[in-house]
Amino acid sequence: MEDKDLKLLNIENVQKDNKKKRFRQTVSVFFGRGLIAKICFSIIVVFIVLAIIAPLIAPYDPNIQSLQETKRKPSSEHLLGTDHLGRDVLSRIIYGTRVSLYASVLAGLFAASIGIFLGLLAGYYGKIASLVIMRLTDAQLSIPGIVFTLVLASVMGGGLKSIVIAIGIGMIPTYIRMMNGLVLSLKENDFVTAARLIGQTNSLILFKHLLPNCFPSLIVLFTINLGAGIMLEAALSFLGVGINPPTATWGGMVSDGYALLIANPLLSILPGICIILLVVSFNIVGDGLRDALDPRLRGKL
Amino acid sequence: MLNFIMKRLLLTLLIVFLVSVFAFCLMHILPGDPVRIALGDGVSQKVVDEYMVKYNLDKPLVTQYLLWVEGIITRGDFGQSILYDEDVGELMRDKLPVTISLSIPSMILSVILGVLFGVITAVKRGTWLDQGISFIASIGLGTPLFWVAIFGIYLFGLQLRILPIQGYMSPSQNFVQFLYKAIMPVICLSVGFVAVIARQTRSNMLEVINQDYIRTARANGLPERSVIFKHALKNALIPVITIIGIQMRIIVGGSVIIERIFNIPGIGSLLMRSITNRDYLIVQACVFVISLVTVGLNLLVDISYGIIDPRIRRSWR
Repeated sequence: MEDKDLKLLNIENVQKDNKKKRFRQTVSVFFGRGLIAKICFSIIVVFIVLAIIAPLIAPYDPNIQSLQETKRKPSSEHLLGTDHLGRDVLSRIIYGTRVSLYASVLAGLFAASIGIFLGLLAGYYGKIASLVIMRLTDAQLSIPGIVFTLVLASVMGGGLKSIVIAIGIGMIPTYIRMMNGLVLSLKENDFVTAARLIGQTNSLILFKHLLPNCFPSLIVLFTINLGAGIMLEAALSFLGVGINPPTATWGGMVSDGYALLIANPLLSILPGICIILLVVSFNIVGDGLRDALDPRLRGKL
Repeated sequence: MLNFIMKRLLLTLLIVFLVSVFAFCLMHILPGDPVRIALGDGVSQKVVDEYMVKYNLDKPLVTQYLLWVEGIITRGDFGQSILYDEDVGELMRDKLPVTISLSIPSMILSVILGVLFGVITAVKRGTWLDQGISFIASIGLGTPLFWVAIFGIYLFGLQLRILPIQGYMSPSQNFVQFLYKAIMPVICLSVGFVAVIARQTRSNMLEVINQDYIRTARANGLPERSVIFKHALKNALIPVITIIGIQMRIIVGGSVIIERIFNIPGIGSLLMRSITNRDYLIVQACVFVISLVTVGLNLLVDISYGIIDPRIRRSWR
């Protein structure tokens, strides 16, 4: 008896070692891609930290107006100047990080949870399930993403919650398509047939055997969608159906600054640069992750 | 050939039907009364009821949907706006050409520039030129359209003063003025799409360029230009064309933002105005028509390429 236990333990240890090795390999491939991947990864970390400790480092309250100090140029007092209501631009940019990341992570999780489930169903059961789900996906994809989220968010009344749901629903097709494709090719594998032969139920096969095999691609898609979510949130806030003022959002700041483009171009240029930095970083980190986790996907996403 | 076109058309019809259901449902998912929302709380219940009957809003949702679709198909009639008493179909016919007159040029521009950049980066792989263009492309992918437009306005409109910062002129009225006013919106619209096409072209070209028939062509002494453009590019373009069809929505959707920034009276501006006014019939019609444009352009790309390349046809069998 004891021998058997020992052996089992050993197998577990070997599995753990393999997992550790694979993780180390992934990390080394990812960071071995050169300077740009490292820089982008650090940019994301910096923005996440900024979002978390915003109240500690922001020099002013982002929503406090001081009408004696409107439209100030950058100075030692206000490092990036003030906007048309005298609010400190630097503080608003720092707080804007919060909204962008928060909305896009939540929307991503929302889309992933629904999209993964529907994609699994469509890919695994095929026939009617696939027909219905995939044609609905096609239909949704023929409505331009920005129009879809714009109308949905405004119908739901704007605000953080409706934005998250609207962007989330808008992103569901990307997950459905990817899961559908992956499951279609995975389900022909021997391990699925084996699982079925020993009498495992469909739901067990779906969630225990097929889903874990899709994780690498899902992580890549999630990362790239984070960038897309930030762009959409910014576009909605720019168009004025997004998060309600006075909450600081990058898109809203660009829109506010647009009216003062001649007086102080920095007001709308700077938040835009933050969006670009963060989105480009997510895209490049996503590319790096794809090369590290799932080389088959190169050039497909 | 006919078989391919028929199948493609049938699928398109199905998509159009689903899109019309989507557009209809988008505006009806919330409880609440569209007339009250449009007219405000100040009106009496009697007026609201009259409006409900006039706009068929008292009928069940399915009947409302059927009436809406019937009007569009038989009479091209999208109904009447609740707020302004305008004919929605008339509005669409007014605004659609404006949006298309910007979308098609930026589509053509994006395809030309995107394919060109893609080929250059693939042929010069690994050089500073490749790295430079690829880097710019990945920035282009991550730059919000509204920011590109505002930066363009700041740089070319306010600083250099060489381009107008807003406005629109119909090409049939004055073509030179149209070009002058449309040049910045069209370029802004194209930025993201150029990046998408360039990346796709680059990766496909790299795949094709290493194949045997290209080596054979080179070994036969064909000039490099003819190898690249006549032999490699033709095959590399198939997946690119598919991407162009699918991603057409980038341009059509982008026109909502561009029209707002440049004050262009197209469908995008109408959509934004109607969203602000909560004029739900117009919003519904805008969503439907915008999607129709996307689906139509997609169909056009697919069929024209199916005619050129038999492999596309075969994949539909």
